[in-house]
Amino acid sequence: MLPINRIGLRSFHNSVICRNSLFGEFTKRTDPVADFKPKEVTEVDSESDKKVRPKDDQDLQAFYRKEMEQKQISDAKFITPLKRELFQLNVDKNGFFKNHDIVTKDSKPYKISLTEKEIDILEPTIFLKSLRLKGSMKKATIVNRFVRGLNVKNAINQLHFNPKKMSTELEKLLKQGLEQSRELNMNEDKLYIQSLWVGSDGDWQKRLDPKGRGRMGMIRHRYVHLKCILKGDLTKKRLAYERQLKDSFKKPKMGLNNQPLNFSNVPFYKW
Amino acid sequence: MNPSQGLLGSIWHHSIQSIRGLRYKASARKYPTVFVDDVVLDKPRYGFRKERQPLLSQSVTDSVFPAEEIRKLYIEQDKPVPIKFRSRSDKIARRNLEKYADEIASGEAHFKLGQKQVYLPKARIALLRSNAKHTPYQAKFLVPRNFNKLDLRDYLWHVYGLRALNITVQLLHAKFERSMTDMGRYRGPQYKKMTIDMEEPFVWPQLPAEAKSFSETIENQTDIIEIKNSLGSDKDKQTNAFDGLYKKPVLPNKFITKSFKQEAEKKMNKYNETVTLKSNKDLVNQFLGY
Repeated sequence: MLPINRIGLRSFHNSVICRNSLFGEFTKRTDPVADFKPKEVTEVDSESDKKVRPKDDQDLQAFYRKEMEQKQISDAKFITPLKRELFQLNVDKNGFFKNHDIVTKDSKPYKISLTEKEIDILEPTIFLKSLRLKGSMKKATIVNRFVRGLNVKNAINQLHFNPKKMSTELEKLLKQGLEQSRELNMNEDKLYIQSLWVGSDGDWQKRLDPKGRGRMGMIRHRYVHLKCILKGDLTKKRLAYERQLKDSFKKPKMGLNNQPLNFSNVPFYKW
Repeated sequence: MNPSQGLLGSIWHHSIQSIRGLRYKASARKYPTVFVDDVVLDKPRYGFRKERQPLLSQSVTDSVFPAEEIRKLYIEQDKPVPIKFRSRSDKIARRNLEKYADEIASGEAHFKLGQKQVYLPKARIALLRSNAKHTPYQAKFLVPRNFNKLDLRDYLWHVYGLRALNITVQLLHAKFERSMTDMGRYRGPQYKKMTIDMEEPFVWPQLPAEAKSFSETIENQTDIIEIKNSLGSDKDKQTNAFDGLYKKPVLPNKFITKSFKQEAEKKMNKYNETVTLKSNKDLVNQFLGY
């Protein structure tokens, strides 16, 4: 039992008397302020280097790439290798794809005839899909009609200064297209919007709009997506050639049909 | 008044000037002439008061308990001591300070101990990481709301032998919380923090580099959940959550119609069949030695 005047006395307290230690001889005394050193930057870097980030994890990235390649829509999945090779030879020969043209492969002549859809998928092209957008088809169509058929860079330029919301969304989409064209080694200056359309994204929400006299209106929240096909120089050249070909096969224009009259023409007056 | 005009002239002049006719019209010609140099703009508003000698009490600056010295100065100069300096509070303060220094030197409690005997304290006292505004000589605690400064001082002294030289209290309101079912928002209970001053410094060790804040993890998780539950085209959305763990490469696609896809797939299947058949035939031929 302590005497009354010594109550609250702490022999282990780190006061002037007991400067040595908090727990006697067992602990080493340190000066936290003097000993405090901020960690050097290089140390932190070396520590973080040891930890592999998902971006640098080669196994993970390879796995993801394989997964995405399986989902990817490419010509190799739908066109036989021979056709693809002949198509490429044709393009190398003519600068663009000439249908029904003859190319030589392994010193053998091949005449290649492709359908329109086969040509569409064989030619370099990019298909873009937007995310879910808040807006209506009507609003999107106004913007779509504005840039449909334009050169992509020109379209981006126009959309950038258009105050509509859909313009901003479409601009983002086309910029993705430019990025992808760089990956495919396409000439991004010659890229153009071959087709551009809007579709319902589904799961539209509905909300009640209370009116006077116990009536109700319906507020509809519409969601859409934009889809777009970009094509390049190769397609433009082919289309120009085909138009020219078609024009050359056309008959010359005549004022009157060069054919016998379909009524009897007699040299006397009839009544 | 112009002295050269004489008395009469001045009276006449004044009377003329003071009476304005019904059709009087002020004109610039009749304005009194004023020279710019004579006009003093922004007259000084100081210097006109009587400057007094500084007070005797003002001369004592470098003292913890100045009243005693000041009193002495006034008495020496045969002046009445101001009432402010007549009390003996200084003496008491000095005595208290000496007692305080003595108690600290001898390792005793530096305050009057609480009388209530608590054998098993159930209060939850949490030492918090200090903010940028705190010095190493300060520590912050989260304490129960029924705690007061004296309680914390006693608690720290008895449990850790730590002297709280000064204590300040921060009673804080909780954040608003929203419930899922209604539009209302509610506050949780208040919480109380106390900051103490200590004899000796304490610095928290640094957080490990990989330690991440709770809110950051929650944000990442909600991001992933949002994408999993997303509708329509948002299913292809990319996210940077968890340091890009869920980010997949975007590969350029080509457009293909549904009908052509079916048609082309059939053709490709046929082609693949023939290719495999041919290779199998080759293998058999190789085995048979043809």
